[in-house]
Amino acid sequence: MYRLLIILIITFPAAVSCEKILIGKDGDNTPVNNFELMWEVIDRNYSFFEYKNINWDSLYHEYRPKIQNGMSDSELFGVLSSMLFELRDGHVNLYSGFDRSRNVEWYSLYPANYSPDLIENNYLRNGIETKGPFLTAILDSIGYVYIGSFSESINDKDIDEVIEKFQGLKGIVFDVRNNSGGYGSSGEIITGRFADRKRLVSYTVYKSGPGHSDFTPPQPNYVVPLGKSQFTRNVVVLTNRRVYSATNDFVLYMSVFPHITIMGDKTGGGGGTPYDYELYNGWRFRIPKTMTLAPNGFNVEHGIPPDINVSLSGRDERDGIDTILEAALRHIEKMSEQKYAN
Amino acid sequence: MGKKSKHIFYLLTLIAFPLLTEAKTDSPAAKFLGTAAGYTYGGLRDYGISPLYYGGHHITGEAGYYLYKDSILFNIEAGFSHGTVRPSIYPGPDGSKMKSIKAGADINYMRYAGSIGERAKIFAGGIMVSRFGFYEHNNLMNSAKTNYIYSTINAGGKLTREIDAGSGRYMLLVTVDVPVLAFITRPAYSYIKPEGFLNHNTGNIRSFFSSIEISSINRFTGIGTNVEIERKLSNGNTVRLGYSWEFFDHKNSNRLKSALHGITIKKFFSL
Repeated sequence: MYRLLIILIITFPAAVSCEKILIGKDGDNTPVNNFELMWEVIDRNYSFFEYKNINWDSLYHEYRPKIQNGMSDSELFGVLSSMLFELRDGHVNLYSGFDRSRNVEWYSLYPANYSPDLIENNYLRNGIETKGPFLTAILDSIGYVYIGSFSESINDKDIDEVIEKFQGLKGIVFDVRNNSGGYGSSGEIITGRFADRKRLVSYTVYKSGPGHSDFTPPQPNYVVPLGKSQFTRNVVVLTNRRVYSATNDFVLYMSVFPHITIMGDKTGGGGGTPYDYELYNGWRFRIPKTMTLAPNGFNVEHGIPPDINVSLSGRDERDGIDTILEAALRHIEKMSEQKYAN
Repeated sequence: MGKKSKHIFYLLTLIAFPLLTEAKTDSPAAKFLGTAAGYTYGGLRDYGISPLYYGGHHITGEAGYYLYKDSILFNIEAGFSHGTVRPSIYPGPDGSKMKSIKAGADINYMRYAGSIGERAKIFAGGIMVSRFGFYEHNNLMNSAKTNYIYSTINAGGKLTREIDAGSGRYMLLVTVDVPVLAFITRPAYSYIKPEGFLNHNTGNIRSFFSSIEISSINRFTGIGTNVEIERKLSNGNTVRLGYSWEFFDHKNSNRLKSALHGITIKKFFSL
């Protein structure tokens, strides 16, 4: 009996405590293991393989032979970055201690359609007012708002003051050109100030399994009226290809409201929310695990086409004219004249 | 056997198991209030946060009510632990770590099932194990937090063995339990930062509770073990030094495996 007890005491905890077996051991920190880990995590989690028609298995066979244990960190970074580049996604990055990979084709291959100097020198010389991240001015009885980034969360007080300042005007031009995103909540907070009523603005689908087509059913997202008052006269949102990620969501939300017109160039897209992961060597990478759909099911990953397509002409730019902003001002004038005529 | 039938079968088996065990003439109940303090080491691999194993140290505290008879062992315990876990494979160029907060409660009911010799007894029965866990990573974006609550109905067994050593009276207690049925709330997407929130109009709390599932060992497996040495004191109180180990594996779309080793010192106050 005593022998049994001694054996129990000694062997029992040891036998059941082998969590390294149950949980699994981390792989050794080698280039091959880091490649394999990254490839597998992306294979199980990346949300756009089918939408973008990417053959991830064939990319494995293309890039795996380029990885050898013993290669330098910079060589490994180069190969992994090249593989990530194949995803053609601005939300996919690799971060090491010495570099960050990125794909900027979503805007670099297209015309800028925005010149901050042109706006500042010709439209905002007088009466410019800053309210938090918002740059505001009144241009011929029409409000102009510019916000260049959503990297700071939007303060309710700031956006309420903007709306209050412009109440009574013919309309608002809301310029988000070159705003490449930030806080996902920004779109909801701002759009709520332009909401006439609660409206369905988008769906989100989430990866729900390792298969490339494993997604949750679409989860609806709504915007409801927010703030002290809402601006429900004519609004034009100005866009270009550098509108991305959270700002792309904002444009999608705004596009749902009938008194709001999207004008300029198609947005850059970026409809997936990126999630960070780690490698054995401590490098981090991020990939989207979700997709955003418009209420009609349109996938906004590759951008949202404007209601009215307008480009910044080189001639206008040389003459100090922002073609897109001028078109927006004319549109609001025309719409308000039609309203009074009716 | 269908999924629902399988769950009912497990549950009935578990309920019936202690009742089928051997009855014995009862002794008067010994009742105790107990408190415990301890240390645990362990960690997790949560594919929703990181594919890497994170491990670290926790401090723990527990309290409970204990009722012991010759034929029945019953106790209710509640505990709390707090610690920090880090990647075990790399130190983290930017100090990667996760805050880890856990709480739990156990209801333990076992009946006498037989003996080995004169001084060793075997008990069998059920344990309801409830756990809450919360992890927050300090610098991963959007996959930074995870949380879970689960309650499991476990089948368990306990071996007790009286030992005389020197002038002291000791008891060795070895317990093993495995979950048979589990109620789990663990959203695959519970929180994201700093890009805002995804479920704009659902809210994290609602998404948390919408993830409730009832699982058996096909999706939730685990094991709990506990080895304790008890010393009876002359005033009727007792002290225990124990080693415990808990492991569970939840297979949702972001698989989570967790294991903890713990050492605790318990003091039981006789009522």
